[in-house]
Amino acid sequence: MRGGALGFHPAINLVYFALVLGFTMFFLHPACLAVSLLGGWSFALCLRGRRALRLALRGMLPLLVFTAVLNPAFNHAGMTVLTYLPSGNPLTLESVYYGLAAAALLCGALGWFYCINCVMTSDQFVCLFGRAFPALGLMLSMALHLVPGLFERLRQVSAARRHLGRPRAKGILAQMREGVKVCSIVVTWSLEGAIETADAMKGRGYGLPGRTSFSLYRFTRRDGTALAVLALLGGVVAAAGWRGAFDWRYFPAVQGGGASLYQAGALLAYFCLSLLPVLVLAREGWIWHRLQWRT
Amino acid sequence: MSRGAWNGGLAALAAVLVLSAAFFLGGAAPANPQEPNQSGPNQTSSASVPEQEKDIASLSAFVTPEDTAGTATAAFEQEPSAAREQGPAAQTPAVQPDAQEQPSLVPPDSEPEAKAWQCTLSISCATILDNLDALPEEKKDLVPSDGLLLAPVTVDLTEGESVFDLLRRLTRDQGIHMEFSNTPVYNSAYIEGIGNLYEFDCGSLSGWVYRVNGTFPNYGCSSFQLRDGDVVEWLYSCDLGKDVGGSNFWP
Repeated sequence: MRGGALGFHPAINLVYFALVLGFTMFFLHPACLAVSLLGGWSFALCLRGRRALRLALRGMLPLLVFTAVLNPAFNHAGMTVLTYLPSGNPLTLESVYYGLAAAALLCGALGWFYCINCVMTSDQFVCLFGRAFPALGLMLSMALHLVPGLFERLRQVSAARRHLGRPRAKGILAQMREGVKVCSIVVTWSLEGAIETADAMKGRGYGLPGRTSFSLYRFTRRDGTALAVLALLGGVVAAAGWRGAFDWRYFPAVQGGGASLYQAGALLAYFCLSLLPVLVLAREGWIWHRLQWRT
Repeated sequence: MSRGAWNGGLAALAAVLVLSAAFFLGGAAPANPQEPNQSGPNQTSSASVPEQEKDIASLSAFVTPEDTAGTATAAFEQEPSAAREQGPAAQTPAVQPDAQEQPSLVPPDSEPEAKAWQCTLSISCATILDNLDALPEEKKDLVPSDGLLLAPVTVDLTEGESVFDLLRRLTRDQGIHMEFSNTPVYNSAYIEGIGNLYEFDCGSLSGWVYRVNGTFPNYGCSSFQLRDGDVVEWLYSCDLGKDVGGSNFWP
């Protein structure tokens, strides 16, 4: 259940993440940022539970504060001067707001990327791009696997060295030497692995004309329904954004487009879109629960 | 192999250390010879801090309010020639040295005989009114209808105050937004924006310049020491100073 997460076709996953990431990056309206932040991290919580919570609290919260503080330190534009910094430049309310918005944008996008990493496995990428753009599909899958693979190999190499009778090095110098050595091994291994993967795929005739590729994914009616829902919600939000419902200006003075019924409707659509995976997961959990009760 | 890797790492670390040290020390070092020399007349090259303070001290010791006019013109006569030598390339709008070192603030009544020096300051962005279409939509509300962000005001001068110090003091007092940046290499501050009207806001040749007694000094406003009766104007130019009458920029 975890790997496939929602059990949708890879194309649906790709469309969904492209939509939410695009909206996250283009709409700087505070309400949109809040929706995106909420949607991304609640999905991450549903997928990974306590690990995501720990990441959110230990990694994202400090990052959020850091970004929010960093902006007013370097950006002094804005009409409302609150006070003066030691450098002599003004600290403005607008720069504080913008720092908060930028922090929310960053954390929201990171949350969605965390979900992409959980949901979109490499076989999904190969399924999507394997026929039309074989090189792209293989490259994407290898690139996305690079960092987790590095950490996995790092763990294996240091474990192997420990069991070979090399205790934890003492002193900074010795530790640095050990670290450099482990890094060297890991990088060499990864590079070699990449070449071997490419060779193996070539040896199997990956990407040759006329060769079909097997994948587990079928585009079912459920996927069709999901695509329709995505098209509807995404279309509403994109149209509203295009027509300026989510316009928001931070400099020189904070200025919003003014709330309207139209904007509220579009915001509701965006909210539903962001929470769609959570809703689907909750519904499935509820059905599972009910089935267990019956037997 | 491990020894080789270790030595390589050590060499890289040493190189990074040397480079970073050079970077940080470079800020305080004398101006780079390739850079156009934008320091003032009393500091032809690499004005170190004590030297300049000595200059300020000697100025205030020798200049009495009676012969201020004479010295002021003497100071001015040095710049047009410098301007011609440097040409338009050196003319970034409004470069002002040293914002950090405040001249020691001596209370004005320390000299019982002298009456307080006075100075007039105004801030104008009237040139934008002729180029409103170049200004972004959200900034149009910032431009007053007469173009005056600060109508001419006459204020008492603190001893040793430069044009930059005066601007900073007055914008703070009047609640006008002002942003500047310090570039250690030039030993200078640079006015980036006043009243949220920033450089490059009204075209790629726009920015803030300053004029004292009708002349555009060819050096940063922090090294311009104000004297009694000086009239300082901060002007927004949309055309590298041409449109505010900075003809001495252009030979």
